Amino acid sequence: MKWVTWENIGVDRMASAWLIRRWIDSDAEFVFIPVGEKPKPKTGEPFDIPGERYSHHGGHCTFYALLKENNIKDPTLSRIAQILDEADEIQEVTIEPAALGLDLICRGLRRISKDDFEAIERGNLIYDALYAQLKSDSNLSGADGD
Amino acid sequence: MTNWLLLHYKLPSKPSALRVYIWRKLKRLGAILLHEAVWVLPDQPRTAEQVQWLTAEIQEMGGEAYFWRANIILGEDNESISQRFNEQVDEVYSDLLKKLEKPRVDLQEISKQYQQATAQDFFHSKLGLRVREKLTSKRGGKS
Repeated sequence: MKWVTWENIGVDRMASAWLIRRWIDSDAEFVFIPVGEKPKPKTGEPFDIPGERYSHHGGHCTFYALLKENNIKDPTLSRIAQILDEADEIQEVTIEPAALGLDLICRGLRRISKDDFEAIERGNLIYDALYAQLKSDSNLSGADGD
Repeated sequence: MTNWLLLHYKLPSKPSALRVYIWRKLKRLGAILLHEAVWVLPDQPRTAEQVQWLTAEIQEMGGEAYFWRANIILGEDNESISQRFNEQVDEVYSDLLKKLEKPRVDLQEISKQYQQATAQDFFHSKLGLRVREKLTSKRGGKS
């Protein structure tokens, strides 16, 4: 299936593309349209575009909406959602110091990639790594209880 | 030429908690309210992204919001608007410098306030660098 978002991706869209590919739709194809353009329904499923279902709602990021709408319950993914909420939304409570670093790395990754397709491919490595490490840390501490 | 982001919005009068919520988010972002009418921020990738989501959130709450990208034709010049943003963070930085002079300081708390201020330091105030130097020189251990 095709997934549509605005071009020049950042931290939340890079993570969302990773989540879609790894957890929701392994055959996902991504389409980038100019910033501000309203997506046409025929093009595909929009994400991280204001006003759409898979977007920011109630102070939460798009990654969070993707988890919620697809009923994905995985403690490590919820933790990543919390990090992204802090990286990509204005928050009064900040409890994830990794948020700012992740935002910085993803912005830089887009900057050194030739286009959004390359940025998504490279972003997959970052999020695979983040997922693996968070999962391993939580197993050691037993915090997630699963 | 410096571009500015402008936001003005109208929210339903009730519940008032929503108005406070949005107002606090704008303050947290470091936006300046001009003439009690229009919120202003410098046009930078991060601020543009944040204001975009804030606009969507206001609309979702049943409010009306306009988010503009603008440059000034008459009124204050770009430098004096930038100066307003600097004054805003310099106030925090001066306060932190004063605190750092005291014999017993909570370095963790000051570091946190410093980090929050740098997120609003859009034009790289020189005072911020001084706080940074003071903070790093105060940490323990040998240099």
